Amino acid sequence: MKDKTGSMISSKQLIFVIIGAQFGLGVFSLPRVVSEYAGKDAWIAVILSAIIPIISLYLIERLGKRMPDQNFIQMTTALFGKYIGSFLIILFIAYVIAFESLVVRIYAEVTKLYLLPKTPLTVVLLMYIFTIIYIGSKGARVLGRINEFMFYLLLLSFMFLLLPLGQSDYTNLLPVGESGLKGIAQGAFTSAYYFAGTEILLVFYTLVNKKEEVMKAGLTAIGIVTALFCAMVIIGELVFGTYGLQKIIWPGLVLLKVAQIPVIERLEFIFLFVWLGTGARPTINMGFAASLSLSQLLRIDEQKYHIYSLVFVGLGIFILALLPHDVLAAFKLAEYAGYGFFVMGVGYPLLYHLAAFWRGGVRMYV
Amino acid sequence: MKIRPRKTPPTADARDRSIKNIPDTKLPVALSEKMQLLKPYIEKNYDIITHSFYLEGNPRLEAVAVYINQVIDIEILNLHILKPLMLNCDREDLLTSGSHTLIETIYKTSITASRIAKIANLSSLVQTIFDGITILMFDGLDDVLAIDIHGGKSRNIDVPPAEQTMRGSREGFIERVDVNIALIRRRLRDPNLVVEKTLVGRRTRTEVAILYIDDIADPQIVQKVKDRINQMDIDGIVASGYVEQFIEDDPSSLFPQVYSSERPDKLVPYLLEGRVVIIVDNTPLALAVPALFVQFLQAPEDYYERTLFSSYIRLMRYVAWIVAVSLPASYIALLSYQPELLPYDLLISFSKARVAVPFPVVVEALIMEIIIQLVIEAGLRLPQQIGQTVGVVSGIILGQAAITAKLASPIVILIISVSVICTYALPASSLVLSTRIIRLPMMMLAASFGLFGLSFGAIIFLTHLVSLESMGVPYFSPLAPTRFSDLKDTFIRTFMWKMNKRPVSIPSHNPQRQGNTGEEND
Repeated sequence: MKDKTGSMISSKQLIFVIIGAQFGLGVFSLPRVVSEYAGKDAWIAVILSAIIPIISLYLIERLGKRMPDQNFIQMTTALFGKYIGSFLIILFIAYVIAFESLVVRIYAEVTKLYLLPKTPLTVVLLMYIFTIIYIGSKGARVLGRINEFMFYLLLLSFMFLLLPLGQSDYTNLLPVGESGLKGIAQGAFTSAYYFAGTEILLVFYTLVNKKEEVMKAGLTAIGIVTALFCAMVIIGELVFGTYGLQKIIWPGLVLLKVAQIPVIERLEFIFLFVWLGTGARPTINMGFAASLSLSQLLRIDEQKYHIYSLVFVGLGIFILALLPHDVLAAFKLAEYAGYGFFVMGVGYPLLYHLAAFWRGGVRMYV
Repeated sequence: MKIRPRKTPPTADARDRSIKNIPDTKLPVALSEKMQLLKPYIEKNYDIITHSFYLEGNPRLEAVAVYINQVIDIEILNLHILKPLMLNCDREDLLTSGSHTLIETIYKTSITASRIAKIANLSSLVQTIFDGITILMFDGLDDVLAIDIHGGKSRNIDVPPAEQTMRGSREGFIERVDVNIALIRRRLRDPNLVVEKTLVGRRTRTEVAILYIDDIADPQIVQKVKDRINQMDIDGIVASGYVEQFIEDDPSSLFPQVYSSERPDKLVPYLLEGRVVIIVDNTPLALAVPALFVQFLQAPEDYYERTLFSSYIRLMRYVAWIVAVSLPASYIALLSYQPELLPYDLLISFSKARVAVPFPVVVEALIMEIIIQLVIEAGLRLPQQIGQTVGVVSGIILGQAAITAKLASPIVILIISVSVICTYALPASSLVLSTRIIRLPMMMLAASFGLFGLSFGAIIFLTHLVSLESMGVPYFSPLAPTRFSDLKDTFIRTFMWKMNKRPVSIPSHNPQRQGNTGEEND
């Protein structure tokens, strides 16, 4: 397919876009949240939880295969008609804005706490929003490249998390299966929230130039994210133990402080250089997906006026991010936001499949 | 992607139309009428010389040579044109042979210089004279002869002063485009090397040569380069920098998107990788596009020295670039926002050194940064001896005085000096310039938001780098989009015999570079 608008991405870049949408600040709190239910078996729970994004991926991929020439908006209006379709899309955009506003708020709070205690929250938030709009304005192809580059940076900085392993105790992981099926299942259910971002494929499917490789790319992305999550949880368990983890809000960040190496003294310094990059990445990707949907919904020129819908989405995120009055309220809301992922990632594709089934009958599935 | 709006290219006709609007009349037969026609255009110019003489023979034929003093090679004119024509012109009578065959006979038998053309109308005659080409006009013949015997004084081929090397060739480009092309031809004898010439500038009519290897370079890129050069509609250019600014993709970017060099041995490998080289007359700096960011951190010595050493040096350059951009900013951020990240002892010695300084860290660092930038600028254009004095004075006396006057702490002087040294460790002068500028916004961001500001600056600059393109080729490749096969010649430089393929970052339609396997042949 000829790349006319400069907005196509390769299937390789899709891997990094999906990783970027899923892998954010959440990884730092993941060990605490999962071990709360699954205890020592948290890593099993994380591996099991990958089933949910895989289901979501499969459903979306099948949907895209059915209507390969139509983008998310055209597909929705074709299946549900103009009014219900528009409502569904606006709901999707609203979900992204709401979800990402929480991500951004929590992120800004952490930034304030660790780096800029005296800077007003609005300033920090505005810097995030600016980054989101700036990167989004460069188009899908640049977004793909940025995600690719950041992934390698992230892998490099992740290496530093291996350093505290010197103080680990492998008995923290034993005995395997202690928390029982129920605990593991509950842990898996919670950890599945952290895969939110898979639904970005709804929008990005049409932007990939080789559709037959989407499934492979998606599976690779989910595999890599699962591996990184799992590594994080295992390192957390090894160093702090289940009970220790419960006492720390951001075990991932504390891990960086545990390791002491001579001369540099504190490892966070190197990590903080990619701080904004890693943290804002899910919001950058999801914000781009939402604004692209918005431009397509309003049928405005994607090249010329995309920046306006980006600004709209950015402002929406900014205003909603200011609403929770403190970080605890944001945490509380974030728990509900997790359900949003189930609705958008699994519920939406299922609904679309049903609609297609109802409209086109069984034959469309052959 | 940002594309500068461009007007439709001026037609060749419009560009060639001379400023004075010379009529396109056909030249008359009689010599006196020709001179009459030509007179208004050349009479005011002291440096245009008209030289009347008679061709040998019976009857003698009157002729005039018109040329610009010191632009042509007067020796060739005398020895190879005037002498044979005046003393040894073997020709038939005008009446018996007709004007058309006679002029052929004259230049085929009697003129020993090469590169001759015939001209039949006034406008091209005038333009040819001002292009520096010698004109011969004969009585009774309507065509005139244009003989290209450019010459006169020019600089000798010399060591390129700004790009010295230990092991490579010592030859650098000079101001003559023909000599520069020859320097490349001598190194690259491929019949597929194409040299195309075009004129740029309505008034200066500067020769611009476009070089590429036909069966390697991507035709789309070649076409793009040609189009952009042809679209230039300007009254005059005097340096290759003009062309660079007209053809680059994003003129408002801080980063150079066109590679320039004054060394032919640097450009020949680029041609072999599928790039297009542009040589502009009167400039010893040739351009190469598409340019990649990593290219500005590579030097030709990387390929002349042995692999391990050059890989080490190359890694050092990446470190140097990162340090040059971020060291002063990191210092500001760490000291004013995150002192807890510094080792305790180091922090104590830092604050002890700063005790007497009344300014915040950022002011202190900015003062030193600006002073050093000015010292560099001051030393740049002074004669070498005075330049050295300025360097010594500023280095020793200013620094010491600033500490004594409590304007700066020794540490900030150290930090700024290290970053300046790192800047000048970069091999490409255009990247040096952008690095000097980038340091400032990074320092400002660090002063306002600490490490978070640095992280913000890093991601903004990274996005900008990734979104840049040079002739439509991703500028930050092979890093993003990541091309793994090119990484062996990015941070390190792998063994020569292992680089079998041309870099994929530069589109080319002949990927195979060499057939070495590194195995011994028995």
